[in-house]
Amino acid sequence: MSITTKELYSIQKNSWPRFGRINLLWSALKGWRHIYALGLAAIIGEVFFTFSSPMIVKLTIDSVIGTAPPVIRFPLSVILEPFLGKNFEGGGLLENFVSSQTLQTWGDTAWVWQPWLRDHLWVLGLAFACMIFMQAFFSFIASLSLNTAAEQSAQALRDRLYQHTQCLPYETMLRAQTGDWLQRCTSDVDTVRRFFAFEFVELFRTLALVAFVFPIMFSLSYRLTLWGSMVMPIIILFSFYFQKMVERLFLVADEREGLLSGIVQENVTGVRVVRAFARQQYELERFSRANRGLRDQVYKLISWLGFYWGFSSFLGILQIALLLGAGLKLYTTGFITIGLLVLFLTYEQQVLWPVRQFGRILADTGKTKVALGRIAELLALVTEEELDKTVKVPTVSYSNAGGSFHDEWARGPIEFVDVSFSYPDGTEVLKHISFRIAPGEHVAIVGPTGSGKSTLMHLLVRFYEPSEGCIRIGGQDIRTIPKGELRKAISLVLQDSFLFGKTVRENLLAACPEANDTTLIEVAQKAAFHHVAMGFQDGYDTMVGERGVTLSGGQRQRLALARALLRTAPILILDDSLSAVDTETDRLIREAIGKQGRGTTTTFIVAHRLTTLAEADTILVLEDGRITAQGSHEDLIQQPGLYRRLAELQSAFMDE
Amino acid sequence: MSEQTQFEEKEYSSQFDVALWRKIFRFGKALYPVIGLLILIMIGVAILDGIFPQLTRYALDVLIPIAQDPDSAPLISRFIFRYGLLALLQGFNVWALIMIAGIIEVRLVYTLREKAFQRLQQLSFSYYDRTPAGWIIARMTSDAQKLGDTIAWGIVDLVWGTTMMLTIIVFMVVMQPLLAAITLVFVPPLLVITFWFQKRILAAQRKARKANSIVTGAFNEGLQGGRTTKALGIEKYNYKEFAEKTQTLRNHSIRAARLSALFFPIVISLAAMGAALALGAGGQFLLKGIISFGTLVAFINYAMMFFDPAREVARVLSEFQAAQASAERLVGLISTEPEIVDRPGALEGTTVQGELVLDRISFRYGPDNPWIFKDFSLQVPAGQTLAVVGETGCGKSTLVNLICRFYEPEAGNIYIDELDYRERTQHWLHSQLGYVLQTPLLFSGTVRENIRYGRLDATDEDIYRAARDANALAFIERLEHDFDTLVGEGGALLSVGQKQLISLARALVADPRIIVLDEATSSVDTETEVLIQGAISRLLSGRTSIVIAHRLSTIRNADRIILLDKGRIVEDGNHQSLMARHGMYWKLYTQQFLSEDAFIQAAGA
Repeated sequence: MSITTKELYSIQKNSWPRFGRINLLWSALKGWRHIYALGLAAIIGEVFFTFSSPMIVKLTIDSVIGTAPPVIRFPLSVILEPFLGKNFEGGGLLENFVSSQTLQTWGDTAWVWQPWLRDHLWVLGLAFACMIFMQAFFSFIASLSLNTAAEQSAQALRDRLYQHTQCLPYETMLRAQTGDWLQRCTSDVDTVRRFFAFEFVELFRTLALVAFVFPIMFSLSYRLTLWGSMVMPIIILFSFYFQKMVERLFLVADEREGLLSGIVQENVTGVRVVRAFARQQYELERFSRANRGLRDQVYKLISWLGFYWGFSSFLGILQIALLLGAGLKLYTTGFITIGLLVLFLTYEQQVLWPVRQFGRILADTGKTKVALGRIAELLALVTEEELDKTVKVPTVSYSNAGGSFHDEWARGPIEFVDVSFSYPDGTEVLKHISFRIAPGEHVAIVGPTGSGKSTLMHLLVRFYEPSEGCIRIGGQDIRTIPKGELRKAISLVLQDSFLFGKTVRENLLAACPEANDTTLIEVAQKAAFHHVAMGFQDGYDTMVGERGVTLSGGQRQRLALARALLRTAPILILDDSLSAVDTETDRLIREAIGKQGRGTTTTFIVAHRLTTLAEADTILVLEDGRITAQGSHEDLIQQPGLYRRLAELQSAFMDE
Repeated sequence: MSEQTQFEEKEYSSQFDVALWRKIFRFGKALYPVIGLLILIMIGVAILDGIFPQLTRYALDVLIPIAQDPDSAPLISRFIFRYGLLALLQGFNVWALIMIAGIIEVRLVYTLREKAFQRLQQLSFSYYDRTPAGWIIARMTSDAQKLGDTIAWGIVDLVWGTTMMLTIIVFMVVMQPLLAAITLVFVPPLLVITFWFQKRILAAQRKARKANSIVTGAFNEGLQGGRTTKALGIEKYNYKEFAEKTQTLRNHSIRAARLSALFFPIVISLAAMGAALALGAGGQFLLKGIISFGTLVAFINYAMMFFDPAREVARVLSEFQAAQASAERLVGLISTEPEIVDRPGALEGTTVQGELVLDRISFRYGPDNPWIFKDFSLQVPAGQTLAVVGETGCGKSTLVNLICRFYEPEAGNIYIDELDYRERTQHWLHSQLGYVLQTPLLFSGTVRENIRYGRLDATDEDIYRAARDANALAFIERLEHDFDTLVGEGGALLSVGQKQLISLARALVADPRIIVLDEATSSVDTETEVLIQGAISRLLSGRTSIVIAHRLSTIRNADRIILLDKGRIVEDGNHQSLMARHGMYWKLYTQQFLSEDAFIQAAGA
């Protein structure tokens, strides 16, 4: 299987290996497998006692109150033998409470225990209650361990997904379809959790029930068992058929609900357009149509649900009627006792519900399959680290003796040597770029939109690897520097920096957790954000982001800048990251950065404003992926080219 | 930021708000007869459920003793036949209850959504400005659904549960009052424990849900902020924070699961104790001949049946309490009053010439906020192109909001063709006035539908012409199904530049007399930029236009430029005259407008 480079960066359908889904399930349970197994074992215990307690009732009816010889089968036999003695003929634990003499005088009754138990009926009541206590106990153990294991596995999956998505290459992040990915990380994980906590458990329980109850019933009376399971296959088939039918209906209903919320979303976010064209009536009609569509689909769904549950209720009760009728008939021919009929009636009711649910559970299992596939696809995306293994690293290896990034290399010159770059989709962006920047220099990069300015900066922090040539910082090929080290040494402020949904302080500290308040305020002042923060009621503890205060574009950029400055890295890159800041503030910020940074911090500024450009030590003019000019403002206005034309245009405008 | 707190997820109200529920039920007034029918059916279902053990009892007590007698065969057949009929009746009941409860749910949800959406179409911009879109969408979708669910199926379970419990008690007492009293001893603790647990389980689940939405939010941030995280190199730091959140979620979930795991065993044990008492005491009663076999079996069955309805009733009552928060939010939305309404007798009709006068208007966003405009006046003669420039926060956007009557001035008047615009209807104003945003908003649908949004009765010919005038034709014809290509939600399948061209075509097809254009600098390639500039100049020509300008070309071509600063006009004139003054405009112009626009010219030269 060969994949082109482009496909490395986006989700590929069915990209998991064979058995990948089962492996994923298995690995999600890691560390909790024994707990899960314990839960499943407890289910067997629960089922065991579920079928024992009705047998007590049968025993009471037939052989204690009635006079039939006791028929005690598995599983009750296992429990009762220690108490009532071998073959229940005396000699067990219970005999300690009864004098042996008494037992013998009752020898001529149908069952040795009958007379004593008749006088001590509460013992049977107690036995019945004990069975149910045991059932309850096992049910508790099962529920607790299965749910715990399911929650743990869900947490493990969530953590793994988060970690994985954080480690993806820049290009993949750029292409990410947030909504779809979010669904894979949240609701798909929840589907898997439910599979562990419910569906698999229910399937297991149903199988255990059937595996337990049918042999017992058969051994007690195969005739009554046949009568008692006549309708079951119909219910199961019907349940499957029904699932198939409604699955499609559910899918359509989901789609229509999505359509409806899409319309609301567009209407609310596009409210200006709606009002500007006075289209309220039109929007109402559009919404009503979708609302009706959803309503009618849900009606359809409900009429199926009603039919299914109505019909299966009828079948279930009919099954009991059949059992009763057959039981009465078999009783007259002496095949069964009353107690046995009551026992079968109880068993029937216990089995009917899971059988009616069977189709739904299987359908949900199908959903788990899809969810697992979607999660596996996301996890199959290649991480930055894996991608690095494909990068050819020069033999000269990186050494970092001091262990700190304030190493020599980061304070050295920055060289681009014949660097070319094409995007993974094949678009050629940079062509044969070469330049050398002395440490501490301030560099401005200028050029029309799409000329490759941002890409040039992204190469420097290794968001991408050059297709040709090499980049050196302090003589060190940056491919030999671990990405973590490299990015610690370079503070990059993106064009569209993201602010986290935290307080101002926390947003700043994310970049440098150990910074104290003095430094915090210092950088905020440099970035002209301090007075903005102080203007809020809660100062630096004000929440920003979606659930907090709304910052203007310029304020956001300034906060992002402050965050980057806090790291005091030897190299600073501002990728058009002050575009929304007004000119006056822009000037103040540049002064603040320049005053301290000049000579110590190598700074790159991608900018449009000519005032910004003129102040730089070196200006790189980028046109169509090539450096067409390089030099100071004074140098560049001497030579014909884009820069001079820009400057001329400016002065021409000023003279008007 | 007290406003913010109102949007915090409030999920639980401790007090039962009768007035609120009455309001909700009033929305479903048309459903009253159906609800009555549903209640009747549920009573029927519950009573039938209670009758089936009686049938077993009859079979054991009456039919078994005579079963040996060959004459009893028709009696048994008749019994089975009747049992089957009751099965059919119950099957029908179940079908009817699902259908009816379903109808109630669907209709209620439908009506609530219609009402809420209608209200959304009337609400003023001030509402939208202070309410996050996600909040509104959640009210329209999940809250409406939750309310419909809770009400319809809540009635079902509540009626079934109470009737079932009563039926069981009545049957027990009628069969044998003393044994009934003995068996029912465990019912009061059963009820108390059930309610205690249900309340706590729901509370624990709510906490887990809240933790879950925090995790979802963190995922969202992780994905959206992924590139920033990478640039800052804080992947590990973020992961540590994230792991804490999933830890919290897991802890809350396990706590909820533990409560549920404990609840069922305890309750079924209590029920079993009742059944054990029925077996022990009932056996004695049977031996003494007080009760029959069948009665004993029926008692045991009833005792075990009791806990199911008790659990349902407890669950429904807690759920109603939880749904109250949904009800509050939804009713809150539906009963919000729009701030801008048409005056009684407001005029429609008459095409506008396009003269616009703002006469000493004052405005601020609410009494707690500073004045944006104070005694501000502006006259725009019909046909003039007016460019408005100024730094962020000078009042440009507010000016647009006022002219479009998205907000109304607190004092002063705005006249269009010498008539106060408040004398007209909003619909009239918006039919005469075109508002073009440069952050273009398209709707899912085809290209054609999006252009037609400007004028619903536009012919295909009109749409073609508008697309041509907007310089959009070339790219539209390159699309797979040209005008019938789907644009995706919000136009996601098109590029920013393409969206802008279509939004300009949309405005052109509307052909309004007054244009309000809110330009924004955007990063489109040079070629597209030239197309957009051409489309804009075509759109503005021959109309009264107010342009919040960011493009050099737009400003230079304007008939008149005003420079706003803190809600005042500080400079007024055309490009040449303002440049000559070497004042604020000159400064702004050389520093700001000359940036990207200059590149286009310089690069093209």
